[in-house]
Amino acid sequence: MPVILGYWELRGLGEPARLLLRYAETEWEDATVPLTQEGMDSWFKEKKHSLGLDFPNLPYLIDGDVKISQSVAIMRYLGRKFGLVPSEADVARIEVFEQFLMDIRNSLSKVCYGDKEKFETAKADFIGKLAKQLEEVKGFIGDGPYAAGEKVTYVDFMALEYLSHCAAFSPESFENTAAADYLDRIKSLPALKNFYESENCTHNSYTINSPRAQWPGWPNKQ
Amino acid sequence: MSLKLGYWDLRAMGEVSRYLLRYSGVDWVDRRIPLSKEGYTQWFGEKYSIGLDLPNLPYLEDGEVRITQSIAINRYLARKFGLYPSAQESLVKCDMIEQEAQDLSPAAVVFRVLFQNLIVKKQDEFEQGKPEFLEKMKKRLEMLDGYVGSGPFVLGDNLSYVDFMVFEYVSQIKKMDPGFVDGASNIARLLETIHSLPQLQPYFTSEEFKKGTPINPAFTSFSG
Repeated sequence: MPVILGYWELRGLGEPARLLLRYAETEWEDATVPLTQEGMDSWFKEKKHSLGLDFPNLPYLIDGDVKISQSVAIMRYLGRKFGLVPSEADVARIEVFEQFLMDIRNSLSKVCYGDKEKFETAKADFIGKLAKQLEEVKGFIGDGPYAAGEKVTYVDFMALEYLSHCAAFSPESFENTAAADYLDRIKSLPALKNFYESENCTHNSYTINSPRAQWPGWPNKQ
Repeated sequence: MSLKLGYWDLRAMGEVSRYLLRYSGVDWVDRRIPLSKEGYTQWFGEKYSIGLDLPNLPYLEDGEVRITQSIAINRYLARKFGLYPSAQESLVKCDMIEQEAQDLSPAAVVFRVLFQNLIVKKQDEFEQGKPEFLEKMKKRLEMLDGYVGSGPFVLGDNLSYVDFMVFEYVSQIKKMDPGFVDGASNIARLLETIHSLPQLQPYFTSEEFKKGTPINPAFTSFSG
């Protein structure tokens, strides 16, 4: 039975899991919730409270009897399922990186979903801090090629997606950086390369955030 | 003696780790950086030179291990002190509760992202936003209460680090709203259970506890 991943019809917090599932080349059901009245009704009025989730929310993952919400819990589960986990000695270091990426994602969300009047200032503040953070990513990844060295782990998909959000938000910040090289390496992994190059690649149509956010992150727009 | 936790002299995102360390009974250094000009100078002066990959507060030093990020620190300490679940099914539940508990923290995601840094707004704006915040948190608390059931702990029979997360973050909200756990009897019972742990009594009877630590900085509208 294929794994089911449910999330809104956008990238946001659900995309790292989708990327991992594509990389794993496993059969999975993309239970995307359309951003239409019908879609939202189907989620809020039908599915949300009838899927057997202890903490109903999006994204969710159903794998047989296992039913998970919370994006970080989902990523850790998929990591274990597909062996995309660090060695025991590396666990703490990778979990630090996992949380660092969540911090960046949450900071960007705050700017993107914030008040219109404060947007330009908030954007400038965020970009101001980004350069230092990308230096820290460079130091952390080192020669890599991935976060845990030779081995691809679940945090690489979180890094790819959440740092790509930042790159769309502030392309100049990523020019000629080791962080951009790291993201390119992950994107070049076989199954992912096919995804990104395909005509139907959802990143050509999905927003990063809600289309109603102050900065939705439409494809190919800044 | 090599186990040290460094954080501001606040509860906020560091107190859960302190509870895990208190519970463990091991020797540890509770390094508190004062929220003063001196404290800031001290911290920002050394932040990039104490061997942290991704420098931040809180940080943990354990011999050669140097880590940041409160959740990574809590998980590390949990593994070290036998407060991390072993059964596969429990790992999933643990991770979900960890994230749900994090989403209850007044200092964390909810306040910052969903409520646009409610605590750094002026007092009247904070008071305006407070009811909506508490309402949302009550809904989450209800779900958690239903989940915990008869417990006795969040994950059932075994105490784990997520119990301390629920304990601390619910306690923080209780400072804002003393009636917060009314109607969440399982959570209220869990708080009592954690508060009564023998390993925590030295702390709860200490001068330090009586003196108290603010939850958030004094410049916020909810310093608790």
